[in-house]
Amino acid sequence: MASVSVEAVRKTYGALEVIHGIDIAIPDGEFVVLVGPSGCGKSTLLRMIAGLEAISAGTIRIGDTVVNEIPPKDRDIAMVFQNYALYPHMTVRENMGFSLKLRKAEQAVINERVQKAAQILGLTPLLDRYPKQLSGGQRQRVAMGRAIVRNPQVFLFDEPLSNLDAKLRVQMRTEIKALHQQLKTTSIYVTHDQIEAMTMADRIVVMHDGIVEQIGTPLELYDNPANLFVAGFIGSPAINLIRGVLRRSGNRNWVATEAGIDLPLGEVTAGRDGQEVVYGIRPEHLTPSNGSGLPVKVEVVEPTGANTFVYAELSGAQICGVFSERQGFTPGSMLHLLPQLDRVHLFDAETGQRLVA
Amino acid sequence: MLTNSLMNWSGAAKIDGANSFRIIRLIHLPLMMPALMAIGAYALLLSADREITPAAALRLFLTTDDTPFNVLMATGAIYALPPAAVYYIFKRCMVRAHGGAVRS
Ligand SMILES: Nc1ncnc2c1ncn2[C@@H]1O[C@H](COP(=O)(O)OP(=O)(O)OP(=O)(O)O)[C@@H](O)[C@H]1O
Ligand SMILES: [Mg+2]
Repeated sequence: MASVSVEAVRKTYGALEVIHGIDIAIPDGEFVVLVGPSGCGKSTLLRMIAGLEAISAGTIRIGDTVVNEIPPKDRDIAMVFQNYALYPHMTVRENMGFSLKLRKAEQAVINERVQKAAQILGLTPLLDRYPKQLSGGQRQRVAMGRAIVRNPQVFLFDEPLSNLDAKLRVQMRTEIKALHQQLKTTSIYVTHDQIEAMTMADRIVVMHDGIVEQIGTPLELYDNPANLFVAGFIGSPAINLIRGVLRRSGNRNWVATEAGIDLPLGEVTAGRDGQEVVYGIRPEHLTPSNGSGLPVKVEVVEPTGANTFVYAELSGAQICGVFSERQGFTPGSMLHLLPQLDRVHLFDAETGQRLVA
Repeated sequence: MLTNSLMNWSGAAKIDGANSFRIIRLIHLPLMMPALMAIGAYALLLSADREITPAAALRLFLTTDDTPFNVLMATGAIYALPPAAVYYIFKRCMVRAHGGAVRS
């Protein structure tokens, strides 16, 4: 096992820069998830760590070794790809043993390691099958097996679950997490699915257009998003974001919207009177109330069983609430919503940065 | 999709520790076997079907004193076309044959 450090790393394709200077320090044993929208550079960064893409500028270290010039096979890493990249003409056993065979390991050692990995992953009965005779989830497991037989310093995953159906995805993400708790190998996992990121990560790196927007534990990102992008990206359904002007008068603070609604704030707040801001409140931090609170008109009601999602209109703006109550939400009816004041997020409208008191 | 898969296979093989030569021998070549066999089959069909096989036709040119190299080369190129076309058509079959390992 080893730490991984990414220092001021850039990637250019010809004249086009797609990674604009990224710093990430990953301690030994951590499970880090790189998350961000399509095209933000997650795979490129991961492939640079793997050695499959050249590093245009900056330094990548695995343990104490600068690996910039070291070829992939000597970086002591293993990678799991989105389409598994299993060798179709080899059995599961051969697929899993291939890297050891290339390294000229003894057949007895290969057998033992393959057996052990197969056992961990429940693949023992499938060892003599070919990839095309396996289900998606089983192939995914073989890809994992191929990675773990070598007992590498670092695991790299590039969207390994995105080809699986929803149910299997949930199951496999639990399995991968359990595997990490067992093996404790430093892992870097790429996904564009924020739920996957939230549920699996020790720490999440939120990327956007080739930069890092924020690094933190899942709950840090959820509780204290550093900017509008992170606020909007983490959490489902997405946070409600409403533009307005910050008003401070005595110990009373509020945000006045253009439509004339006053959005409540706590006593202590950041920002100055008159500042253009974005008011953020997550759907789960709105409480239905009789009489007081923001008047909204219910538009769509979506019961999920445990919770009810209510989409409503607040003077022209769309607002979503998630409630554990089931009663009293009828499309077309009026409803009052109270924001939990200690859960309100304020962002500067111009810079998108969080305002800190 | 094919290049993407080959890239991932190559990527996987590079990390597994194969050098370029071994990647071609152990990964690309076996993956291309169905296509190569198809080309072989086509070549056989071609020579069996025609009175003059491509090779024989080319040899005819070589017997004359002033060998028309431009004609010779053009003919050679034309005869190279069908197998090339077949190769690209069968590339898809190859992916289908091995479809088990990759999803697109
Ligand atoms: N070989 C290349 N040449 C030029 N541009 C490239 C190349 N590979 C990737 N890019 C560009 O680099 C950017 C980042 O690509 P990357 O594949 O890392 O995105 P990603 O975050 O993994 O997205 P996704 O979630 O869709 O996989 C994209 O804008 C892409 O178009
Ligand atoms: Mg990607």
